Amino acid sequence: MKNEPDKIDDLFRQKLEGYQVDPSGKVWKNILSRYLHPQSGPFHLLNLQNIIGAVILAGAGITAYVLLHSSITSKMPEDKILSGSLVEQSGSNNRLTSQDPLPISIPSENDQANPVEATVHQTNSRPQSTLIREDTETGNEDAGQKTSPEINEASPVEYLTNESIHQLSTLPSLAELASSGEGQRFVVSRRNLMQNIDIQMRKQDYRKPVHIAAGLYFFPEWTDYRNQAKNFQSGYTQEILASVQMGKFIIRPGFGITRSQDDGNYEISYNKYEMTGYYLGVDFETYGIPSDSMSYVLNEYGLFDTVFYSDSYRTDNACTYLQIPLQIGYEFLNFKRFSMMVAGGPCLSLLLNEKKSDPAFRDFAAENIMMVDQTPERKYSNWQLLLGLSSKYMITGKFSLSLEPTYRQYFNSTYEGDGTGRPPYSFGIRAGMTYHF
Amino acid sequence: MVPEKKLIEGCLQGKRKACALLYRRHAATMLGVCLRYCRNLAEAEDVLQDGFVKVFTNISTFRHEGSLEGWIRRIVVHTAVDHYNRQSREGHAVHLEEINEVHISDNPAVEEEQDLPGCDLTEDELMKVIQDLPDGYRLVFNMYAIEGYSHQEIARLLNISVNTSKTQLFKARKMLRNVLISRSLKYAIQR
Repeated sequence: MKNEPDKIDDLFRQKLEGYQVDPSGKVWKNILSRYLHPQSGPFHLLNLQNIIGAVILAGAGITAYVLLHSSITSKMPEDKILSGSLVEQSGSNNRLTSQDPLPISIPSENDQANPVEATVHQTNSRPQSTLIREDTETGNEDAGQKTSPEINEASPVEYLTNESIHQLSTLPSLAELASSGEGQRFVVSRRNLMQNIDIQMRKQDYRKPVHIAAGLYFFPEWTDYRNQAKNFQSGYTQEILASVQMGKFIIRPGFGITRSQDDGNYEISYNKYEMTGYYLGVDFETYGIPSDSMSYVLNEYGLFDTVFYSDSYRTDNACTYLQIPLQIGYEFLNFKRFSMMVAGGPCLSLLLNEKKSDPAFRDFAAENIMMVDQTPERKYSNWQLLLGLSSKYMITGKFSLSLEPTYRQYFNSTYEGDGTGRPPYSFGIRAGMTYHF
Repeated sequence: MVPEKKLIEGCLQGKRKACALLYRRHAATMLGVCLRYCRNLAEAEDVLQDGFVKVFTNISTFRHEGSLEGWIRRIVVHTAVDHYNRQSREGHAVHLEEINEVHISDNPAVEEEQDLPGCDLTEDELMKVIQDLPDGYRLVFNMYAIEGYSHQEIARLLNISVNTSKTQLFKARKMLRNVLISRSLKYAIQR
């Protein structure tokens, strides 16, 4: 294969071609752990690192939920009305001032079979407010003392702000009652009242401050692995995300299955017996035709030899990952049906499966074919930081559509033994539909 | 001694004993190959480890048409080249195209007709001389002079031009020659 023999080449080749050194024991130990104890099936994910990661994500989600929930409920009853705590009303404590939220007496669940009689008043001091009370005098400071003990003492009282009372007054049944004047007696059950309030609140305002939702998302992504021929490899994730919204903060845990493309790299070497050149050979010669001359009849003859070839082949591999994201979001814009939030948090990816395709090498004249898979091995788990800017639109009271451009920064390379020090990053768009409980 | 064919069958079935035997049979020679391509023993053992993982992963593609040792050696050499390419991307090694080229004749032996010193050096000493070469010189010299790759093959594997490969070989030989001469003089003085 060489053009010229060389003395230096010969010296080193003769002395070093058979040079042997015994490797240390750790080499075989590492080979054992990487090849001979392959981590197959879902059980390979049950290593300490992954378990700790999953526990950290779950623990962080629960802790954030508890902290946020306690901070939200401590602000009651000013701004969280219909889901707030109920307060017992008794004696002179139910005196109302213009700043106080108005009390509404709600019969207990046991009373549904026998609906309670109540009276709706338009008070003078709060013209937009509605009271459900029995035998109450308008604007009377002693109203509480005169209320029926079977409602006031036994029934809980939920505090409402003026804004909420205004919404209540728009209920068809209550509005009708309110316009019919003071002292009008009517029958209302707790369930009926609460259902009406809920429906009316949903119709008028989609900004539910505390709620749980679950969504299905499709999440195409383009990742720059930093060490491949193509700059960006595409992949997509199908995700199920739950979200717990408390005020402006949102916790979003979930899981997803990602399929991403990967470059496979095969080195194929082979020998081929083929023509390497040609020469002109004399087939026959003739004398004296036409006169004292010699004529040669020439023909081209091929020169054949075994030629060594070595080529690189790229293939398309596919990897399947289990993604466990946990994001904390902050809703900075909320306008009726439309809202926007920024969200960020860690994401743990666990490699479930890697599908490798063989190179499509077909050359029937090739001999001594050697195919070597040079594709670097993928790591079984890696961590990323996932950031997004989400836009949500409530199409009904229960369903919303969302669109979220995302940026994902990997903390480490996704390949084993990749010492480039340049972890991958990706851009994506998470789109999906969410059901709000 | 277990026949090679049986060893390969055992490796294909994932038998640990067969893999261990195959490794034991070839590890020392392959570490010798790795040492020629690397700067030190630790780096060479890393390459050897990656190389053998590739050997076991790809052993199903071995078709018994050539020798198993040749096949393993080829994988190990490619692993060493990959190792160099990764380091080059990372910035720990100088990319060969960054080194100025000189015009090299196709007959390098013309420039080296003097008597060659250094024949008295031991294998370990010669290995040290090779390891002290700059990365690019060491790689091209090993591939061309010892493994028998052509300049075209080296150029393709290292993603450089054919002329760069020739330049590297020329400089590597020159540097080796100078080192051998200086060592010979040193020995002569000591004696």
